[in-house]
Amino acid sequence: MLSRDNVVRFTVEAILFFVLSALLVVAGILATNSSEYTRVQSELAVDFAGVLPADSYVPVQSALVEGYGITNVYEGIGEDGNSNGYVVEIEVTDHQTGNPLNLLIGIDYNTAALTGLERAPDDQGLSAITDEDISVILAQTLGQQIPVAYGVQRQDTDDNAEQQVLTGLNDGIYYAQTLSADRSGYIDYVEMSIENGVITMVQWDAFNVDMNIKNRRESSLDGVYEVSGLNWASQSYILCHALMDVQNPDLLAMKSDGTTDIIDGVTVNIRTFVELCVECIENSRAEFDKDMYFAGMREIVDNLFEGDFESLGVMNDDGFIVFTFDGYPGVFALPDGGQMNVRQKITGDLADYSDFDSTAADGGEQMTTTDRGNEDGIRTEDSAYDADSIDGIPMAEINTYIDGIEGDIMSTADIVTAINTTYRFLKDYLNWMA
Amino acid sequence: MTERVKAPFIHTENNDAYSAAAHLVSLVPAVAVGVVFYGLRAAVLIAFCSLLFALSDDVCSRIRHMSRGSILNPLFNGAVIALLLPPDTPLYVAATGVLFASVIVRQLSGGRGSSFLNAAAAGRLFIRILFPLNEAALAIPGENRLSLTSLLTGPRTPVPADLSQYYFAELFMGRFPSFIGTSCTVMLLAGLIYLLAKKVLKPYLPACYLGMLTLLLLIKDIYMDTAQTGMFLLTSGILFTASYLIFDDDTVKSFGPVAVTQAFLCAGLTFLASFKLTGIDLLVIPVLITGILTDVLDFAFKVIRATAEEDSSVKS
Repeated sequence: MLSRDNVVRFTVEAILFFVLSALLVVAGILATNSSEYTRVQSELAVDFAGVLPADSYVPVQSALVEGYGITNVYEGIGEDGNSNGYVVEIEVTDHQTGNPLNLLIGIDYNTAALTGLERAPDDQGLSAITDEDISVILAQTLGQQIPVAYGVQRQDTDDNAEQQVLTGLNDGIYYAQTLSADRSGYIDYVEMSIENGVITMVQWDAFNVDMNIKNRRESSLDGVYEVSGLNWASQSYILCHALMDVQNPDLLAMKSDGTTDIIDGVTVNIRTFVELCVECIENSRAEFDKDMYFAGMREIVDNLFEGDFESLGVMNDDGFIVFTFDGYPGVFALPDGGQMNVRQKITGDLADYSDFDSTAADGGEQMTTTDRGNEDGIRTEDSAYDADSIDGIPMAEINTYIDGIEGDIMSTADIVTAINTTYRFLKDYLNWMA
Repeated sequence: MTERVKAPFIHTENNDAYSAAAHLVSLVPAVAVGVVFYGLRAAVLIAFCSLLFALSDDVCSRIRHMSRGSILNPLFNGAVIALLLPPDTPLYVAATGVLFASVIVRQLSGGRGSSFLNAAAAGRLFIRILFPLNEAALAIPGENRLSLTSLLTGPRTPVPADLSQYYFAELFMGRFPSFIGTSCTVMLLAGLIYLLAKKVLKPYLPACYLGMLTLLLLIKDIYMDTAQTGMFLLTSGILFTASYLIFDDDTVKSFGPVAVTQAFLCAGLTFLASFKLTGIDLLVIPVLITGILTDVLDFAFKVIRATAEEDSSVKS
């Protein structure tokens, strides 16, 4: 046992020792700061030379960095002391292997052009995406403004192309959402724009019954919502464009298990998407547009709670009505045991609008398909179409269109996602309006 | 002939608890470095390992109906394990090493004061073997000081550091990715000086170890680059070994020729190991081998001495 005196002595010595040591370490840190700065800058200059040459690099400290899954961000400072641009180190998932890929992306401050793209020095090389793949994307994007879209062309590249369209569509914006949430609490919705009888925009996303959870597209980009293959947002993007391509949900060749084999990169179950698209098309034919749908939804919920809609708090920040009818099975029931949709419930119009015969836009030959969920399908072809968004970025903001890596849409999607995530971060951080 | 033994009622100040207290206080500079460089997670790891070691040691002593002794010794051993860990080590990994050191090594290899293995070094090597990925992630000093997430999630993507790019001042102050408490030469020297001042460590022991090792390294590097010797001394953590691993109370049986042999032996083994081993392997494997060999040597010395005394008594 220690004597009382020794206990006191050791305690005092320990406290003094700690304080003196801490002071000495802090002094040492201050004394070595310049050495560290010089060393770090020379290391960064070597690492970043290929993506954004600069006189010095300043780390960007922002809460936004982690929110985008970005590892590091550095601002490149030129000799004149002004910003050259930003170097973003970002990790994306290579969907072929499920392994991470770390990329360095350089963006010019003034022009928002891509100044460089390469594998990050600390990338562990687990990804199947090769340096050659990265070089292909770099060659197509170097000096080009971000954000980037791949595998698509600008609208109306071939005015003479014959396009199969559905008959009887009325122009406008149409909307449909599922009446119950899925197992993750998501309520899917599809929004469809129709111009001159042609489907020109489709957006498929889902909001959550828990209003604190981001919508499915954003969650998938954040890596929170995961599906096999490409991230859900990319698959939604590809699927929407496939529909705009074929103009008929039956031609997406959904199989009985809800999947499709004919659209590269789409592995998710598309049944909900197809059903909501069909509902949108029927709504179009019945001239029941998005505003009427929302008013109808509101009326239905209002009636359920005897005119107390406002106090329910079921409207989320994006204006969607976050309500699931799981507990109210009778609301949409038909006397014969069938189910109505929102339009039928509101208008009482039970007429059949589900004729999905296609006709050529120039009045040419007709195409007919029968039941949805067949095991066969019709392969879509690349053709001109407009777009809604990619990686959560509206297509109106897309500045560069690239072909991507030939025959490798997944690697293209992964690298483009990295570039576009960089854009989204910088847009938020710098309050860019591209 | 009369055998001279110490009277049991004479208490010197330099007892087990005093030595353990001095060792514990001597760790304070290394702890300060760890906390200033790596922040809260380092503080939590050090406290966690120390308390867990003390708790498990106490439980084992109760189960075995042995004297529990001073709590300071297990606190010291727990702290040593923590200081040898990468800063981003999760708590369950640390706990694994501490429990192995306390329950398995310390109890099965002879218990407190008579162990042939350094429990902290063995516990740390156990972590190295069981969780090899943990070793690669050496955090950069000064980063994420307030973060505690690594205590649950483990290390982030490892970033290998090229120490040849570091300036001497940075290396001297320990401002490079390393284990929590093994990097800062200044602070380790302060701890060593404290131990010498408290007279719980004979100056010639660390001098023999460090002197021998430096000499061997210089002989190796003299035709190549003597700066490598300096780099090794500053970055390998051998000052930590000299202060806290080789000459601990548990494994050192005496301060005589056996201890000197132990110092030279460990220096030689560390030198040889430096050709093949790095990191924690280089710090703890020579120490553990030395502990085992020293026990054999100690036994041999005692047999020889006993035989000699027996012969002389027969002659007289």
